[in-house]
Order: sequence, then structure tokens, then C-alpha cells
Amino acid sequence: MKPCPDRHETILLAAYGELDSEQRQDWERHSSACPGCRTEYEALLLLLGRIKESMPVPELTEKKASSILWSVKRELKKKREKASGWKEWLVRPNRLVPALATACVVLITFGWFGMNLIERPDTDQEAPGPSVENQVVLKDLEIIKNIEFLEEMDALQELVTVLDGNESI
Amino acid sequence: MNPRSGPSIDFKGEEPLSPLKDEELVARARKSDQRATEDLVRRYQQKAYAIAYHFTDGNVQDAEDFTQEAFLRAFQNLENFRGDSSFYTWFYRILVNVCLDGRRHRNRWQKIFLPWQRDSTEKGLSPEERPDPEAHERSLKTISGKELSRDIQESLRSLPEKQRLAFQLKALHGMSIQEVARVMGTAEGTVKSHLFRATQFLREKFKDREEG
Repeated sequence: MKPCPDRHETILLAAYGELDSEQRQDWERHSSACPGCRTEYEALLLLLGRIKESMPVPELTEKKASSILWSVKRELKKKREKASGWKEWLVRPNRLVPALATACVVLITFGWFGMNLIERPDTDQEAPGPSVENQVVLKDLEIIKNIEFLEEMDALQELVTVLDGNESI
Repeated sequence: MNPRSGPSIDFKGEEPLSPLKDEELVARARKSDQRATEDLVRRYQQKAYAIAYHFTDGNVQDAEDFTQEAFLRAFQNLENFRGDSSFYTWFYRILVNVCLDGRRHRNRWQKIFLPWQRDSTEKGLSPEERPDPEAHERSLKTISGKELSRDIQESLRSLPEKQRLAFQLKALHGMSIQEVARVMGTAEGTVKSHLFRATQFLREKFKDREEG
């Protein structure tokens, strides 16, 4: 015999003991008159009972309980000490002031060196091949170095021109 | 289910549990009161261990580890406990999350080492441990507790995670649907739906034995 199709939820809640007093009264009235629902309810109770029986809740032994408690306390203590250690270290003025002063000195020193390095770039560390700009500068330097020689060359050129002119006349 | 009311004896009369309510103990534990922390652990560790034990399919070591981890997480986050719900539902929610995380972590490793594990379990099963093909035919009333326990565990394992969780908390740990909903962080209607499906599945699974 099958249970009433609209009573499935009620049967389940009744088996789990989740009906309020009004619902329970209604269910008791119905189940006494409906063998299908009653059978389903009893089968469900039997199943839940057997499941609970076959999976007993293990007892935590005194030793294990103490072990868990001890471990929790130890870990909490460790974390609290770690946290409070940092707080104390930071809050204490006799440690905080020197630490901040040292940090400032380090920042200023490295900052100053850093600025110097930016202002005077190291030419030795540049790329091996000269860039186009550098090539132009080098060419100009070469011209400046040999300017006297070039001037002499110009004078000779003019002399040759004059001599050539005289010969043609 | 809730052991809050009145002083009681913990662990075979070793030390009486604090008569203080959870709220008072939590307030004291927030101020790093060692005694209050200890009382809260003693009050809930048995239940927490039982939940973790069922979650880990009876793995004692994992159950102990998860219980310990849940207490640690709870006390470290005690500042975040606003008191909207009771301490124990808040704590059991942490526990359930620890167990789920732990199981997912374990499953990931099991997937990696599955071929080796399968080999060793197949070789390692004694004739008594191998599933009895005739057991399926016997009735629910006559089947032995050991066989039934194994079959039930197998059936529970095949349930979706949330259905299984709802069923375990309700049927094995006697929580009310309202408490299960709070622990799972879901609506009561959803818990009822999970319970209904899980129960129907188990009912169908063991129906033939019941009639046998």
C-alpha cells in the first residue's frame, strides 16, 4: 500500500521529529486512518534507527580530549605571543625611535647616492657600440683636433690654385 | 543537543564544566581568558569530534586534526563572532568548513595517487572485508550491523555533498532543521529538500532488503 502523495513531506518531518504540536495532532489523526502512510512512516523510522545504530558516535577518550585541548591552547598561546611580540616591539618608544631614525638615515644615504648615480651616468657601462649621437660628437672632436692641419691644407690648396693660374697665363 | 544549560560533569566526572553560558564564556575568551577557552573546548569537543569522525568516514586521525583545527580557527576569529547566532552553530559551521576543505584536499591527493591506491586496496582486502553479494538479498532486520554499516557508508558516500551533510547533521547528530540550516549557511527549505532527497535515496536503496 502506497502513502498519500501529498503526505510525503509530513511523513519525513514526523520521522525526524520536526512537526509542531498542531501538525503532529493532524498527522496522528491521519496516520491512524491511513495504513499506507503509517507503513511508510514506520519503515522510515526503522531505516533511520538502523542507520543511527550502525554508525555509532565514537566516544572521545579522556586522553584524546586532553590532547586536543592541550594542542589548541599551545597553538593559541604561540600565536598570541607572536602577535603581542610584534606589537610590543613596535609600541616601545626606546625601540621604535631608533628604528625609525635608522630607516631615515638609510633612506637619505641611499637616496643621495642614487641621485648622484642618476646625475652622472657611468659611461663605461653603456652599450658597446657608439650610438648615432655619439658618432657625431666623436667626428666633431676629430675635426677640432686636426683643425691646424686642415687650415694648412686650405692654404696649400689656394697656393696650388694661384700657381695653376700663373702657368695658364 | 545544546549542552549549555546547567553545570555538568565532563569526561567521567573528571572536572565539572563551567555553569556559565556560552555568551559569557565567549566574552571572557575574547579577553584571552584561558579558563573560558578551555571550558568552551571541553563543552564542544565531543560533539565536534563525532561530526568530524562521520565526515571523514571514520578516520580517527583526520577527525582529531579537523576538530583541533576548527577550535583554532574559531578562537583566532572570535573577534568576528557577532553573536547573531549561537556560539555552537557558528563553531559547527567552522568545523564543517574545515572538514569539507580537508576532504577536498584529500580527494585531490587521492586522484593523483588513485592507480597505486586501487592496486593496494584490491590486494589488501581480506575475504571478510570483501563485499558479500548475498548480503544485498537479506532483509534490513536480519542483516548484520557491520554489513549494514558498510553499505550505509557506501550509500552516504555516493550522495551529493550537501545532501550528505544535511542528512548526517540531522539523522546522526540530532540537530534540528533550523540548526542544520544555520550550520550550512542556507535556508530551512533548502535543508528540507536536501534531507528529503537523501532520505528518499536511502529508502530506495534499502527498500528491497526491508521487504525481503
